[in-house]
Amino acid sequence: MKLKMFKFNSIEELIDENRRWDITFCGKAIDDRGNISYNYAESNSSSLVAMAYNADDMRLDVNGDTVECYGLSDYINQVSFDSVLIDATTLGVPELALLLRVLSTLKKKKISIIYTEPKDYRKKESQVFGGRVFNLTDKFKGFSGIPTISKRLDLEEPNDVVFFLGFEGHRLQTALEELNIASSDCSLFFGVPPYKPGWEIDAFENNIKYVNDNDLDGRVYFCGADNPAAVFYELDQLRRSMQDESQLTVAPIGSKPHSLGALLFTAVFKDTNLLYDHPIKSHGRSQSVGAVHIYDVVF
Amino acid sequence: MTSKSQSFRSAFTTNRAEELGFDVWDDFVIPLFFDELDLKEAKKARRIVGGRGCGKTMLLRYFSHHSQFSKSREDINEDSLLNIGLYWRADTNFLPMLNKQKVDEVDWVLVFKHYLTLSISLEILKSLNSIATSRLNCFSIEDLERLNFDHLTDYDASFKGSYSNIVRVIKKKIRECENAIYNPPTLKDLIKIPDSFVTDGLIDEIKAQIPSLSNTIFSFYIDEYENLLEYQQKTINTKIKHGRAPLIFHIAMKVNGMKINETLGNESIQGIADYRNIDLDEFLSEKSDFDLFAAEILLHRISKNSKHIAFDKEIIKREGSINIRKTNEYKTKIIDSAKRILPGYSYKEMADQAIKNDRIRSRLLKEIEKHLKNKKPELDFVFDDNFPQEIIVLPALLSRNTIDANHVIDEFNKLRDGKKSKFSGDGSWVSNNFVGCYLNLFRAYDRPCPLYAGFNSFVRLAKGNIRHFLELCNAAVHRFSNDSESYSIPIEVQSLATRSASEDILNEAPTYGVMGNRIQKFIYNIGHIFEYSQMRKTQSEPEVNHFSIRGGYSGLSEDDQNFILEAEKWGVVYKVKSTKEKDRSNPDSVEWVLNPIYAPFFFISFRKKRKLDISPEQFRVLHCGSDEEIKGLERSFRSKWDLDDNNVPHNYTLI
Repeated sequence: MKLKMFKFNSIEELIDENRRWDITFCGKAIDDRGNISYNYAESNSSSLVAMAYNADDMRLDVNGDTVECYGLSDYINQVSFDSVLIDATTLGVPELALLLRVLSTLKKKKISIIYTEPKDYRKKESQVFGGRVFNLTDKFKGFSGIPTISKRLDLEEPNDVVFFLGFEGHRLQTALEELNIASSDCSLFFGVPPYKPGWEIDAFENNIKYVNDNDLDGRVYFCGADNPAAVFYELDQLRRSMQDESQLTVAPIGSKPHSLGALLFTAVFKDTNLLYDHPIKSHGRSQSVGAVHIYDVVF
Repeated sequence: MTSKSQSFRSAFTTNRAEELGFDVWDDFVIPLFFDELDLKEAKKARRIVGGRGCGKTMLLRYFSHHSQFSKSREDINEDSLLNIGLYWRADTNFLPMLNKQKVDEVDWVLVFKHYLTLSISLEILKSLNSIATSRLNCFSIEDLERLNFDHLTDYDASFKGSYSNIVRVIKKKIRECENAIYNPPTLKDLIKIPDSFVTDGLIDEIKAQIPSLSNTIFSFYIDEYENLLEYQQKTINTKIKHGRAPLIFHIAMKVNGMKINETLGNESIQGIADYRNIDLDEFLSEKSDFDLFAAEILLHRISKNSKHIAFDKEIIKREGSINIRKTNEYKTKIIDSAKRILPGYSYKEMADQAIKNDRIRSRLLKEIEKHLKNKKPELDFVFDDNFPQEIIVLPALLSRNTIDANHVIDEFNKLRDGKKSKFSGDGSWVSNNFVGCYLNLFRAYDRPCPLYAGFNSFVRLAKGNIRHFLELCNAAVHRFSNDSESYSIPIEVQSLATRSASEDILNEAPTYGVMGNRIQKFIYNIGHIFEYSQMRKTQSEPEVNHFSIRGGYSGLSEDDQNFILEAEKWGVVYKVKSTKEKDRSNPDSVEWVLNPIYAPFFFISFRKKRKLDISPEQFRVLHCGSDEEIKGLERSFRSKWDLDDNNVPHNYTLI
């Protein structure tokens, strides 16, 4: 797989590039940057396909059609396109995982991914929980497998589990608490450098108790928060160093570019397991718009 | 940092069974209620219920073959073979995928049963390896390698050959099953192994070839039963209903974890007839020697990491030593040792220390003088250091309209004169008011409060929750940097630690299932209301830390009912029968107590004393009201309790 990364300081800079795609896969915008991304996609592609994964029914809604996860490949094969834009700003981890897995099998397609950073994330107003508690999620369904991608976890088999962490530290703890994984099999990645100086401290602070409690302080690693290529590289390095029979599992619960790196990896190395806890994201979870990224992918 | 303090600090870092692995033999402390569990003799199912952190997983892993035939176990004998425990945890990531995807539920039932059959079979086979590698002499690795499973070809042509072959084949079948699950249209081609394979095939074959297992019962422990889908629970319920030797099913779950009792047939499973209930929270309650159990865990953990603490580690691992541990002599010795590590003050000592503090002393004096000012005739009051507890409750008593200030000072002076006084005895002015008044003194200065320090307080804050007890200990030892020969953690350090642990546990609440965020909001809101109640100057109703809802549980909306059940499930509140005698026969006469672990965070009492009666609407606001509704509710309570804008906790967090 080849990945080229372009960073634009504003959406206007990207618009000036005059790029176009045959089709865009996008989700529902719930904040400013989502709207910016969506509007760009709408103006710069011939057609839009709206996707949403329903975690309770474990299936997709694609432009109003109900599609089972295992049926997504057939669905996409019916659509004619040469170039595709994926709006990673509005699509969630399950949609991206399923989509990238299917697209990875289609040769000679020009695949681009757009991701728009926020300027700020919304924090909880309450003074009680200190200043680092964010108001990003209404609720979590909890860790629950995504058909065709997630696999059984067996504590007695060799495992390597890689978490990509963000502001919501309790998500790591929930995984360690509820899933058949041993903390001794886990590695953690933080987004450093972050989108904005200081954000990495918020992520450290909100995860530190769980890192310490689970004796994970010796297994903390860093990748640029906006750099999926670095994530892919690190996972590939880990894959090469693993025992043959070991199961590699990724848990992308941090920045979206980190998630993209991990999901591109699961698309290429299909034996990779995926853990995800299906947050119901809060409306207006972020404010304003930061840098815009285009990642061009060749599988 | 020296190695001594390092080892002391690391004694409590592992607080969950999940972190210890499957073999918990070295870490397990036999609970004092062990004899009442009878899991090794059980001929029918047990339903093990307990809140988060009560030790369910640890207990099940202790009974599993990994621990019972642990390489670390020295006193093993052939009786251990009479019951072999198999541990299986519902995989919350994988098992929900056995659902929907255009496959009928009836077909998913068959897939789940097939998967379960293979999982049980693999676990049984693994137990043979555990036995062979244990210190038991009756079955060796060579014996294991001599086993031959050719007779099982009736079930599947590949079920044959040696032990390692059958293990390999079962694992392959599990992978095939998983692959079909990942691609549901292929499920129709999956050849399913019948349920009877385990008992009539595999176990029969094992018993025929291993004479020492001829009377063995295999106990299959399902952990986190509540995480199974409904049809999966029905499948297990069916197994419970029809379970018999040589394979018995036991289930473990959180409180309110069993939502259905139907089986796959027309029958239901009923307690007593089909299973016996084991309530771990009840076994771990204060009346059941939780203090001793906690003290043993404390000493065991520290002695494992330090040679300086003498503790008989063997006695807590011997199932036959429980009676010795229950003797007063042993109990006193162990609890005294724990108290030396976690010393605490008596109420008298707390009061003594408090009035020696200049700021607290001057605040008390100022409060008392404010109430006595302009009294005619002038009252004869002396700030007598010999009566610190009485001094501390004086401002509250003097601020009450229902008691005349003359009367209060008269009673105080009677005390000074060595006469009978309402401060003690029938009046109970001290015993009723001291804790509330003392907490308010510390709140004013936002200082860690010694009320929460000491082994006894740790036990009461943990309230039967082993994990919370370990969290408290962990927070205390992490702040303890004394490298002297003393292992006594200063009270100030403990006070700070309890508040920090309380905050950490509150911050964990978003992880409590799908309602985690709401649960955290509720804890904060109800804790805040209790805190306002605690701030009342008169302390006329001190130590409010539980609540009842008018109309009871049945008067709540479905959403409210679901919420309170979820809060009970995660141990955030626990339900108790109403203390009012006339209400006790009414099933709706229940009260909910906020888990005392949150008391240090909110500066409220951990003693169950007084309750707050709230309406169903107020309850709704507490768990899902808007910010405005919550502010309105707080305003109404503050107004009712005569609190002004200054009575606001300004800073909770330690960070």
